[in-house]
Amino acid sequence: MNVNIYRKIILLLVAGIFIFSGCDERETRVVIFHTNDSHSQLDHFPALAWLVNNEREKEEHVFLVSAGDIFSGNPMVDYYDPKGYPKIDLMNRAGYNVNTLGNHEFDYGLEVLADRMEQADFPFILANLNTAGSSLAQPDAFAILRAGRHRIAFLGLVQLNSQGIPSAHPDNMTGIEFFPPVETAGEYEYLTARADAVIGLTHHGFVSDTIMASRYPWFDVIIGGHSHTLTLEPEEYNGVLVTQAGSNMQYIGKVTLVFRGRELVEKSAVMIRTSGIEGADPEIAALVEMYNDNPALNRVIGRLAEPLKNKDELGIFITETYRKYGNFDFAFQNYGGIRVNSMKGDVRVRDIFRMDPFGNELVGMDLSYPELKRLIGNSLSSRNTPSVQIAGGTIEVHLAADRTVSDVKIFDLSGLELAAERKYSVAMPSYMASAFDFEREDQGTGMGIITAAVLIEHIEKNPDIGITYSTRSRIVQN
Amino acid sequence: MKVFVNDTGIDLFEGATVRDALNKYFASVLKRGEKDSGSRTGIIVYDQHGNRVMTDGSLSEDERIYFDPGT
Repeated sequence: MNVNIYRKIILLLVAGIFIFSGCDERETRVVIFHTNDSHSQLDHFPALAWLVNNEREKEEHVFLVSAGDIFSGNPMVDYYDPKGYPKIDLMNRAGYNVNTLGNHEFDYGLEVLADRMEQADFPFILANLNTAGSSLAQPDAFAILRAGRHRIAFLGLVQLNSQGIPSAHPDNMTGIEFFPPVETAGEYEYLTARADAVIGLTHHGFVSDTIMASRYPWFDVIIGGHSHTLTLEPEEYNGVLVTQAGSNMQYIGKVTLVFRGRELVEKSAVMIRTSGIEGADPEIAALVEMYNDNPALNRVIGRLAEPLKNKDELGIFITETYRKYGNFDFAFQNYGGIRVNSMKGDVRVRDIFRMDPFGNELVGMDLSYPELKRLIGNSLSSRNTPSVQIAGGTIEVHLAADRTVSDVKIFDLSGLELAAERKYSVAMPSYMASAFDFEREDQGTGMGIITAAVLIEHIEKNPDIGITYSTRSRIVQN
Repeated sequence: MKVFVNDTGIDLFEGATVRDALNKYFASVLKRGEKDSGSRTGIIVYDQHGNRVMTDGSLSEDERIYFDPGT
């Protein structure tokens, strides 16, 4: 009897020594599926859910995570009532475990963001912000997920632009203080003592991820977003595996961690092309179909007393709206970016996206008179007429006797020619800011809002739409 | 901000995407009277590490992207 007790005690002691000395050789596999910059995409959810559920049947520890920018980019979600609801619903059903707050998570405003965070069955994380001065509750900096006896830490970080905020409209982040992401990451080395693996779940672009890897080799993996980089063959930088899955859920990343005892002994990553996934979750497919038939897009937001009969008149409405949006001196719209020829009667959300389907961002910049002249001069058609509409003034194109352009003049609303020595605030779509090549000092700044949203926002506040028509450009034959 | 397309430096507004960089690049190619590469569709763009980048991806200061002008 006593011998048996002694044997048991000795066995327990040996087992204890074995475990605490780290000689436990049991292997644990952890699979982490990841998406980033899914931008309100819905159509790939049935395949994603099937893939993840299939893996969960085979593997014990399977996570699904998002590296930010789940919103903005699909009117079916962005104009759903309430905004963003379908995306979170589908993320809940697909079994997401955590999402980092990307810059576009702020696009709907703090109140809607708080509602969507409340709706989510998974946490939104972010380390480099302080929401104390705002209405948004402070999110956790990190999440620790349990995989059996292992703990995996995910640290959230978001990019900042030159104004020190994420690239979204500043009004949507009022009262929130942000801190540089890479420097902030350095404060979380202690996570290595609290978890068996530390993963950066970042939204600041691939270049910043590689910088973070070079500074902090204690990260095991960085799953990134923002630059829409597709790492078809993810590599290690300074021993840190850095991966990112493109955008719009066209690819799903899969990271596999293998632990032996408490030690992470293997890490690998692959990309899975979503269109190549052979199954689809039927329940989620039915929901996607329902959400894609969004009645909110048929919502009447305004009414035109008089029809806008051509692109000239549509351009006046568009540019006047841009101009009012940021109190700009001038606003421009290229006619090629207006995709309908007229509009009349009731105006629905869908009509605005039909007129302006390209997802251009509104860009603001300060231009001198010579720079404005170059903008117009470089945009003239073969008949020497401007290919842009203007708000805030009028344009004259002067032709010499041989019909070549001798000068371009711009006048303000009082009819005075612009002053050479001052700068004027100007708004235009991002297409013009990039594709219209005119020499200038200020390249401009994205306003954090797409032009279609500017128009919808304006019409919702001013539903009786009308324009005061006037000829805004003319040719002067000298 | 300045970014580089096929090692040619171009100035862009802050917040610009890969698509904006290509627009600007092609506009400057046309302005210089150089031979245009033709089709703009189906262009595959890579970063300096050889990773693919989607055309709606955000760019940051001094970033370098590449595409095969023959594509």
